[in-house]
Parts: sequence; structure tokens; C-alpha cells
Amino acid sequence: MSDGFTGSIGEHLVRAREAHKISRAHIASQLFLSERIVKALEGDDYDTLPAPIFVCGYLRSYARIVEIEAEPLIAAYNQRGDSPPSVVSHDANPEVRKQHIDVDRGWMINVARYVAIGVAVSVVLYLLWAFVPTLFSGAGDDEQGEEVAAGMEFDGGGLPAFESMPVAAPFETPAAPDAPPINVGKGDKPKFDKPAAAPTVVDPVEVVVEEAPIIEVAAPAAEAAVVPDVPKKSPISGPHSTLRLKFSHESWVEVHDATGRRVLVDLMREGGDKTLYGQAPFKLLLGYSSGVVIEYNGALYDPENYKRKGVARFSIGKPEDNKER
Amino acid sequence: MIFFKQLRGMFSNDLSIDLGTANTLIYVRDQGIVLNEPSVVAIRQDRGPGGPKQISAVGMEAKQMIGRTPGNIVAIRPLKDGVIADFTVTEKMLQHFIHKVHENRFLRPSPRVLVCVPCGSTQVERRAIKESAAGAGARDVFLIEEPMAAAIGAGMPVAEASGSMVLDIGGGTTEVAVLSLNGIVYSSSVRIGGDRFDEAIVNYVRRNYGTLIGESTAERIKHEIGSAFPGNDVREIEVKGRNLSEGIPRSFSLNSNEILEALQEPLAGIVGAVKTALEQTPPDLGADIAERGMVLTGGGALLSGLDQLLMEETGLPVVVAEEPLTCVARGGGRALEMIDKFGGDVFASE
Repeated sequence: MSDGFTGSIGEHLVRAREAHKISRAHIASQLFLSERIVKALEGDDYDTLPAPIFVCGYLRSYARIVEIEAEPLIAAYNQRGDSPPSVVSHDANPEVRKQHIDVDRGWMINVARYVAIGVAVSVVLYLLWAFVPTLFSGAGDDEQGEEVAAGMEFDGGGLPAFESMPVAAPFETPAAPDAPPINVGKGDKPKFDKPAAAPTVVDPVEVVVEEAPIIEVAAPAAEAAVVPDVPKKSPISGPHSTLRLKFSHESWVEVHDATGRRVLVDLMREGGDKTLYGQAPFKLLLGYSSGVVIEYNGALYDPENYKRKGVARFSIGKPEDNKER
Repeated sequence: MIFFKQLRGMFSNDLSIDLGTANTLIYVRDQGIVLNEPSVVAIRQDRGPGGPKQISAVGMEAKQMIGRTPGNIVAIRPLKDGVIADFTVTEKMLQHFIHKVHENRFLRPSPRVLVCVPCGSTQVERRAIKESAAGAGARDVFLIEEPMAAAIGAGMPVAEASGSMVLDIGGGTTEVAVLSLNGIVYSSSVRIGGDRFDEAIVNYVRRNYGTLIGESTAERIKHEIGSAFPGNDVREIEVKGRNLSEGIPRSFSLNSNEILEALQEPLAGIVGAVKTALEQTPPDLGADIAERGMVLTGGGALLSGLDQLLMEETGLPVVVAEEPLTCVARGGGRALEMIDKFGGDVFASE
């Protein structure tokens, strides 16, 4: 039946007991068991015996008294068809067992997990793209930002991307009579009323231009062809001033024009250069004013008097400023 | 926040932790015992007594440092007598172990955890264990009394309407309980365990040989020649210790009969606890126990001849569970698997 002995477990026990010339009663008294249980053990009558853990224990103690190996008996008992499996695994090394299980669990579960993680990450990225657009609009990277702005196409889904542009239009937006009206409210986020017709490419109302004054720079010819009805003219229709900011150090910048519109809100990198047009006076907030050179209508402006721990808040282009100059 | 915890929980396994004084075992649902390490943490403190503390090693690595550390490192056992003695260090140790069993995951694990507690632990001690597991990242923490977990892990028929007696001898405590119908009828806990055996050996050697040996040497002696009952074969071991009168390390040999003599006091405490439990057991359950016997679990059950000693002292059959060291963790794991099926009947309240 098993290694180490022949016949049944009970027969092996009886043979060993008889070889030692020990009576069943003696075994029972040594094990503090009733003779009935010892008889059941010797008769392989496991139905009348208690739970397997007890039977294994009895076999071990019995084997010790008759001086035989207990393990083959227990192994044979555990291999019985009607016996429940051993409560313990016989894989001694937990690390090895863990590896076995990892392999056995199958690749399907892992694939499902990674797909779920992928979906979750995609959702998070989409939400970030939709609601925290400055992360993706290349804030601080002026050239890249302008390229993105120039090529932008508003078809409903592009609205958040438009919001991502660092500057709102300080000018009257040029619009053809049949072009979709663009309502730029007083708030920070312009709203677009758009007909349900085919998506129309609108000139991004980009006023931030780098060393090039006007909006045509931001409107490629290809897009002009898409919107033939939009006349190209200077969007600057009222009295305006030019404000140029050169950055020798990274600095946070907020610029509002006379109408209260936000002209520029951005973290500017070292070496950046911005030229802004709008109605004076401009309200400025410079996070690190020492690293910014300001030119107002071609003249240098020093915000020294307004510095507080490096941060400067001031207005530029007020009538009295003009008088001073 | 709860959402993220649940999300992380989807990628974590349910764990059953036997947070023992000597060893911590972790059973992972559907996987078995995946961690069995000593409950030891080595803490490094540089730049003097007020300097920052940092965990230097945990588990087996830290255990090897016990008694062999320089001044700036201290190897400590954060649990004493089955309960938390150092809350912060226990939390860090649990955190380390939980991460270790989830090492392939890139999300921080947030498993459901079942922790086994001594039945004699107080409400404050149980709360400390619960908080510690929660602090280590557990999503839900359940507690189960050690004898119940040990009985389930050993495969005893705890759900039947018959008495089952279990004696779980751990590192810090010995738990004895009588169980029936998934409940504990009687339980008691004595603060005697493997550690007390080690101490007894250290004291014996100092008293009889005038030599000081360390904890780890005493533990090695216990494992190799420790005995609770006089046997036919006498085993010997060669040990080295510092001679107290000469102050120099000396080598000498000990035999198993000497260790048997050394262990008499803690063994008497355990036998006393068992006898008290039998006295307190309702007679019908006592009859069931007398018929089938009691089951020994825990590391102490591996002490040679302990079952024979208990048989002689109580006149009852005594059975040593298979793999007694892991019974509690396995039983906890099985209880964790039963949560969904049967609810939390077997769990201990805080």
C-alpha cells in the first residue's frame, strides 16, 4: 500500500505490536485511549474514529511505542480515498510554494488586472487633459504653445484646449457676418456658440506673439483657406499700447488690461520674451520681478518701488506714468 | 480616499497574520504560508541618542543581529508576551512584511487582514494590534483569538457540538482553550512560552556552569536537545559562553537531561494551566476531551516529549498537530476564507 510496509495500516500495527509481544490493552493504557479506539485503528475502521488530526496523532504515538516509522503510516492514511486531504501542504519551502502558485494562478488574472489598470490610467489622463489643461498646453514653452494654438481646431471637443491658451483675447475678435459668433465674456473662459454645421476652423485669437506683432503670425495660411469668410485685419481696433516682457529668470506673470481681461497668466521660463498689446493701463503681477525686463511702448520700466520680497504688483500705462515719461 | 483604498484592495490579497512574539507568519488566501520570519527589527540610530532612527533590518536578517550589534544599532523584538510592547516598531515591521508578500505589485497594497490575538489580551492590547495593522496599510482588520485559529488550522472539528481542547504554546504565551460549536467555552492564557524556556536555559547554565550564554545560543540548545520528558537516548551539545569568574569565552557540553531539569519550572506552569482548564471545563465537554484527547499546536509543541509529559500529567490522550508552527496562521486564513460564507462568527471582538 505504501513505502515501508505491506498490507493495511492496521495489519502493520498489529504485526509490530505482536513482534514486541505487547497486548492491545497495554497500548491503550500507554496512549490513554480506550481499547475500542485501538481496536478500530488496528482494524482500519476509520469511520468510528474521530477527525483525521486525532487519527494521525494516535498513529504517531502507537508507532513510537512499537518502535516503527510513523510517517509511512500517516502518508498511507492521508492517501486513503475517503480521507480528506491533509490540512497542510507538504511543500516545505514557502518561497518555492509561492512560485508554484504564481505560475498556477494563470496569466488570465494578470492580464485582466493590467487591462483594468490601463483603463483606469487612461481615464485619469483624460480627466487631467480635460480639466487641468495647462499640463498639456506646454505652459512656459512659448514656441510650442504657439504652434499648438495656431493649429487648434474648435469642434466642440477642442473647447477645453482653447481654454488652455494662456492668454485671452484682449481685442475685438474679427468675425465675418456669417462666421460663428465668438462671445468672449468677462470671465476667464471664453464661450463659443457654434452651429451644429460642419466644424469650422476659427483663427485662434492669439495675441501672444513672440517678437512678431500681430495675429497673422498665429494663423497659418492653410487655416485661412478653411475659413475664407473671415477677413484678415488687425484685431486692434481701439487705442492700444505695447508691453514687452523679457525674462532672465523663471517668473510667474499675470497681466490684465484696462478692461480687466486677463492678457497673460503663465509661468514664464528663463529666456522667454512676450509682447502684449492691449488697452493701457496694464495691471501686472510678477512673481520674480528682478528677473523681468519690462518695456512699455518701447521704453524701459523699472518696478523697483513696487517690489515686496521679489514680488511686484503694479499698474503700468496710467496717465500719470505717461506724464513722468 | 476610500475609493482608492478599495481600488488598491482589488490588487491585494487577503492576509492572515500570526503576529507572534517569536515569529510572524503570513498566510495568503488561496496561496498558503508565504512568510515565516522572526518578529525582530533592527533599528539604527546615528548621531547620538537624539539622532534620527531608521529601520536597518527586519525579520531573519535582524534576528541574526541580536546580541551582535554595535552601539548605534539595536535589534529589538517589538512584541512581548504575545502583545505589542513597541507600537511604532510593530507597525513598521507589519508594513515591511505586508509589502514583502506583495512585492510584485506596483500599487501600494491594501489587503483585508486577520490578526490572531492571545485570548488573554486586554482591550487596549487588542486595539493596539488593530491600529498597528491599519497603520501598516490594511483595509479592514479582523481579530481572532489564537486558540480558535490554532484549532481551525489544526483541523479540529470546532463546529461540532463536542468539546475540543487545544493547547497553543507560542513564543510569549501559552493558550489553552476548550471549543465547541465555533465558540470558546473556556480559555486561559499564561505568559509562559518559548522565551521562558530560553530564559530558563540561560539561568540554568549560569547557575550550574558559572557561564553566561546569549538568547540565541539558548534557543539553539532548546531546538537541538530540548526535552520535556525523560527519554531513552541522551543527546549532547557543545556550547560556548563567557565564563563569569574568568571573563573569557569557554566551551562546555550540555545534555538533554540537564535541559529537561532546566525547563521544569516553565513546564510546570503549562501543565498547571492545562489542569486548571480541565477543572473548569463543563463535564460533558470534558468527557469528549477525555475520549479524543487534546491537541498541541505552536512552536512549543515541537519540544521533544511534551506530549508524553502532558499525557502522564493529565491522563488524557495528547496529539501534536501537523506543522504546529503554522497552525495559527493557517487557521486564521481558513477563517478569512469563511468570512464570505459564514460571516464573522469566529472572530473576536475588540
